[in-house]
Amino acid sequence: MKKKGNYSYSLAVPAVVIYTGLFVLPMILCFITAFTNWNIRDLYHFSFNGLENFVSIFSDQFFLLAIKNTLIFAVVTTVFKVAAGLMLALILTKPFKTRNILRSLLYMPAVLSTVVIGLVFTAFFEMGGMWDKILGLLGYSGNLIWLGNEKTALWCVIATEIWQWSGFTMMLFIAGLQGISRDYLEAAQIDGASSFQRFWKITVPLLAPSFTITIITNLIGGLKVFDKVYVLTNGGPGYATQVLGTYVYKSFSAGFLGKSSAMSLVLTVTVCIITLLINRQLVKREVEA
Amino acid sequence: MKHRKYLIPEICMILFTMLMISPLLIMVFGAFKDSVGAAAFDFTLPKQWEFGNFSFVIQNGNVVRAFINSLILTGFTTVFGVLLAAMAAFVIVRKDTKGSKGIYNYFLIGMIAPLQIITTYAVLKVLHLNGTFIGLIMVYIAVNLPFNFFLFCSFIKGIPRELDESGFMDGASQSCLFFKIIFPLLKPVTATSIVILAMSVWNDFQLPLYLLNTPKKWTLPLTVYNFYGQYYSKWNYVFADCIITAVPILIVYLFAQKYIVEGMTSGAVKG
Amino acid sequence: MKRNLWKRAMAMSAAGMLILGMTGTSVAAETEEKGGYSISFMLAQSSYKEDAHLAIKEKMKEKYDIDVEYEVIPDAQFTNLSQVRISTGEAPDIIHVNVPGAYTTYDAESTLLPLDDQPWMERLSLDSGILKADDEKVYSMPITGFSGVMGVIYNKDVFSDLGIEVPQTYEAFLKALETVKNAEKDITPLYLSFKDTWTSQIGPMIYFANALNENCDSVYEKLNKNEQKFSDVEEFKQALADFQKLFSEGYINEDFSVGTYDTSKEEVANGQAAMILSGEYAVNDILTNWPDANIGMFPLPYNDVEKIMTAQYVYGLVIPKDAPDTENAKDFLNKISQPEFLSLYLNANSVNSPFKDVASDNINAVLQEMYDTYLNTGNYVVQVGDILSNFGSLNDDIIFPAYAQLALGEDLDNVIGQIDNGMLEYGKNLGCEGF
Repeated sequence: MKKKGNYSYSLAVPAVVIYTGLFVLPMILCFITAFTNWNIRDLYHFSFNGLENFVSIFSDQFFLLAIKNTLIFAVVTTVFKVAAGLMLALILTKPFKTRNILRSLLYMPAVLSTVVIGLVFTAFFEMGGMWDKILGLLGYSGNLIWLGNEKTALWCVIATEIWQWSGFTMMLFIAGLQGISRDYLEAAQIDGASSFQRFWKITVPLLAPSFTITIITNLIGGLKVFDKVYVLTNGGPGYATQVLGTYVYKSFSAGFLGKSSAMSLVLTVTVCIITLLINRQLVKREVEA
Repeated sequence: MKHRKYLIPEICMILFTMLMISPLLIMVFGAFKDSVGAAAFDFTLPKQWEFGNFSFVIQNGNVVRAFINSLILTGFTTVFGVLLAAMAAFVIVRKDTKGSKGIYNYFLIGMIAPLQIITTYAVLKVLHLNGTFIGLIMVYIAVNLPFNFFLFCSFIKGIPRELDESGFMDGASQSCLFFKIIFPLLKPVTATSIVILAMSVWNDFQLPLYLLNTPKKWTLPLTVYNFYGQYYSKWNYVFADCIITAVPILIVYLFAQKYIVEGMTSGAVKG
Repeated sequence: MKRNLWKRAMAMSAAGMLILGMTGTSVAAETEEKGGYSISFMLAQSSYKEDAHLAIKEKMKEKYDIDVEYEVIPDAQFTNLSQVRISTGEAPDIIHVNVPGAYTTYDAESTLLPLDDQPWMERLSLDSGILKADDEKVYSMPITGFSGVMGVIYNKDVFSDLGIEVPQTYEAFLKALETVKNAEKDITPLYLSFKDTWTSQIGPMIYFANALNENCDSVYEKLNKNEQKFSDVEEFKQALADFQKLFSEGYINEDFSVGTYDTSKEEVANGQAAMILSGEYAVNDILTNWPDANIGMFPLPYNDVEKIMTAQYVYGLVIPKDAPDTENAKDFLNKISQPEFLSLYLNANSVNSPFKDVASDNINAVLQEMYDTYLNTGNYVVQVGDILSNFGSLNDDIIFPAYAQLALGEDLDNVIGQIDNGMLEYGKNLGCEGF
């Protein structure tokens, strides 16, 4: 007898209920409150004000700056994390004796709290700190205040992010590489393909799923960034490193709940659109491979 | 012979890794120096190993309370989050109907869309759960369900249906079937799920910042940040506080490494 | 029977006297002996004077078995956090605030407990007008008298080494800065600490107040009621322009955007900086932590105005209506206002006392001179920050970042526009009059 239909949804109910109540419901509410003048002074009464919030935030030069910074952050960190992760994975799938220890050490930063990393790097980038000393060894003797200079601050945050999470991407690629059958590579070697050719024609295409997941995960994470920026610069100096996550928080803590809902909505829509677009592109490549 | 070829690259890699980890040494050494020494941010070993820094931090940094708070939050979230995800995954994988496909995609939204913290705050307030641990735990579970759900889904797909069928034939109910037969088989992915979820909750900073507004309920990352705010010129204390926060999770990491890797291999890649 | 009656009468009168005696003493001692409770006391980082506050805590425990739990919140989050706590009904018993700015921030009439009937009201030595909200009720107990003085704190040794005299005109001030800049030793002419965002307002406010001079009150009034915008006031733009010049001329430490308040005090104490812009609170901190520091203070003579800038505020303690135990809180306020407790705080802060019977004995020479020469003689201008604090977290969210931008060289009209727009938005949001 086919028992296929004998399963009931009962076991899934708790999960669906909590997920709906505390994730989906807030999301829907946010879509609504983004069009109101909701404020912390009166949590239970608000009135619709149409597109006023959106007009306000899009004419705010600092909101636009936050969007720009968020996009730069997400794209740059993804590119470097994926590149670094791939390189490290390629190297650390060679038969080194210390391979496992090295992998663990390189992944370790991802295990630590962002606050801890943030504080370590605040110290690292201080004037006269580690970073300056390293540059000093390379002959540079400038006098920049890395985290306090509007031109360099964002790049310091980006660098910290790449440092912390490249190990994670590396692990994903290692998993992907391990899934590539040696047969393919050996056959190609016998056929006379150079290692360069083997890499580009066999390894990379077969890694397509890994690329998809690393790029998507890192992009989403990058667009949603909050902790790191908050701890390292809190959006400063001035507004130079504001990103969407921190700008929403700023508006929220000032009590402008309707406005920050609008900002949050913009963030959500951005993340969804970018994710769906990129995903479609990458999945296409997977099929081709 | 083959290994000789890799000696130099290996040494290079070791040096590179040391270099990568080095910023953390500022913290490790700094925690044992006095405040002037720690503020130098260098690699020199402490002249005197000041263990007193740690007791100062424990007394003044609200560490014990925060540690307990973190433990409560992480513990409950992990246990219930993993359980709920496994239960839901089991049903969805087995049912294989349009409805279950719909639920599968429903959870997909959660993987992409960011959590709307502001309205979550409002929902909690209406339920009179704002500022409570229960509220925050439920939010953590909700936010992390998608990821864990998919992790379990891919794994359960590999468990043969025959097991279910023999269970039903023996007269087992669905719950009984799940808990007694299926769940024990999920050990590897459960371990991975627990480890990843625990790390993510332990280290989280944003949700407690928004949703817990008494310092009494704060978790370790928040107290570290706050401690920094109060003692920012005394880096030796700050670093000591960081180490106290990092050590528990590092210990978990040491023991749980292989689960993380396995998890990445099996579930995530197919995600 | 007669003997029994007699015995009974004796017993009863004895009992009666005993009871009367007990009630009598307990009534007299009621204010003294009520105790054995705990109080949650919320204050901002910069208001927390560890030694004084801990001494008070110890004494409260010893004398009344009262447990004081301080909740020290970082400055940048204080306004927001305390507002949220009050509006969500999770208020602490006591909050240490700036009065009267706090009244608008917390919407005093709706959220705070009126204190007009409290016993300490009769002992006030300052005009209670400052303590009254718009509805003429008092919502806070002051713990300081008027003591705000803000200007330039300088290192006397550096000045004498370089042959600089205390400048009394703006030109002389600029010359002093130039002299320090060109000196052989690497000394910062003026150290600013913008990482602690609240300090960024001191400079612009002094410049603005001095520029307006006698017109301060009327202009502030108009700004407060939205009858004028900052962009309508020429003096504001001029003031900002001149302040901005300090940066472009190289008189300010290069790392000002990450410079901290603590460092600024250390540098001027050690002579690594010649001058900093701060107030009476800094003078006290410096003299406490660096007793050998040879510092002095003078009003920044912008616009050649020789007046010190002050703030029409006092520090006070408020009780939220939703506090866990308002009776205990009121009792605590009364106790802390007594000389044995309040003097602990006053002496650590070198500020004037708000009560007739509490002396502030520890006002140091530097501040005494400022008080004698300027504050007590009416030779002062008022800071615009007083009215800005009516707009809730406007300072933290809009004003301080705007000043930070100014320092980084941003276009002035843009900066002033940010301030005006912010004021409009926050004013509308809070339902302030005129917005």
